[in-house]
Amino acid sequence: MHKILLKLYVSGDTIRSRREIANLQSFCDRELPKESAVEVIDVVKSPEIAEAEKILITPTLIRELPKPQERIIGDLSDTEVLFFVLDLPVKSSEKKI
Amino acid sequence: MNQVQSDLLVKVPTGIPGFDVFSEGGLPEGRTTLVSGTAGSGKTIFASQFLIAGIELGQNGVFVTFEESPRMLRKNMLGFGWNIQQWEEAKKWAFVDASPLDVNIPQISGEYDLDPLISRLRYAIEQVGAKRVAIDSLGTVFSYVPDETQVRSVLFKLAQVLRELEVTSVLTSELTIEYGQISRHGIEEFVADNVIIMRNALTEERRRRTIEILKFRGVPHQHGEFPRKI
Repeated sequence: MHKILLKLYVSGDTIRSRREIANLQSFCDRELPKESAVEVIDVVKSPEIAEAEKILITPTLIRELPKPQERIIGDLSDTEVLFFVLDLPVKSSEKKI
Repeated sequence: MNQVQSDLLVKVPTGIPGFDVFSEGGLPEGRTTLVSGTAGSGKTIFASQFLIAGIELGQNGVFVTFEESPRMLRKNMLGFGWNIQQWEEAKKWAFVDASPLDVNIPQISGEYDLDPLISRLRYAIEQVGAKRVAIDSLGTVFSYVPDETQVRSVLFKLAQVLRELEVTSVLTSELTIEYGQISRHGIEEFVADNVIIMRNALTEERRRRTIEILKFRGVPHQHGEFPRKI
């Protein structure tokens, strides 16, 4: 059982999508516990999932676990929002020396 | 018959009583029509009837809903005797559900786009082999994106998909006043080949519902407002 489950929806394999995935990846590696999982869904390849989940905007990051579901839209360049939504202690990375 | 002439003549019926007569056959096939009107002027019903008339002719349809949920629409249309669910099960009708979510408002972190709307529309059209598309209402799209440049980009992509997949489409758009600007943002009409205005004017203490063809690109049409009933 994952403690934190994130799903990132992107549109197509573009430079922009890759940047968004990289932004999230580096954030997760840095800030999230090991038992976290991240899934990436390409809306162009899986439009039926986008329909079922009512994804209208890319990128959309959904925190599926823990409940309740939370959504973040945007390229995740503002990491403060991620700290807030994932309920993490802000600026924990700066404590490392 | 030469090519130019046959291009002029092809119209598809809308099923809206009276409209098919004074528009001389309905809406131009393969084109995009903007249906602009105030709240209560009957835009959603126009859009629904347009799809239903298509199904009756063997042309399947996709309904993109930004305001009412598919559940509400099924229920409302059942009131007119139209069983949408039955057509969905028969793969004649598909919804793209873009109605508001009942979860928390999303947090925003950086730039974003509305590309999933285009992917979902394309998917729905391909799923049922749609020949007709209704989008109700276009104005709501704009509440999702922060600036006019993005609105233009979304509209451009939307128009491109509709043209590429050769569907006949109806886009509704909200008007705030009966007479004046024909769309809220003043840019919706650029994606549409045709513009229809629906009015619900109060004159001498009576509601007078009318419909007017403002523009049919490259197609002759009647001028003036025509009275109608819902």
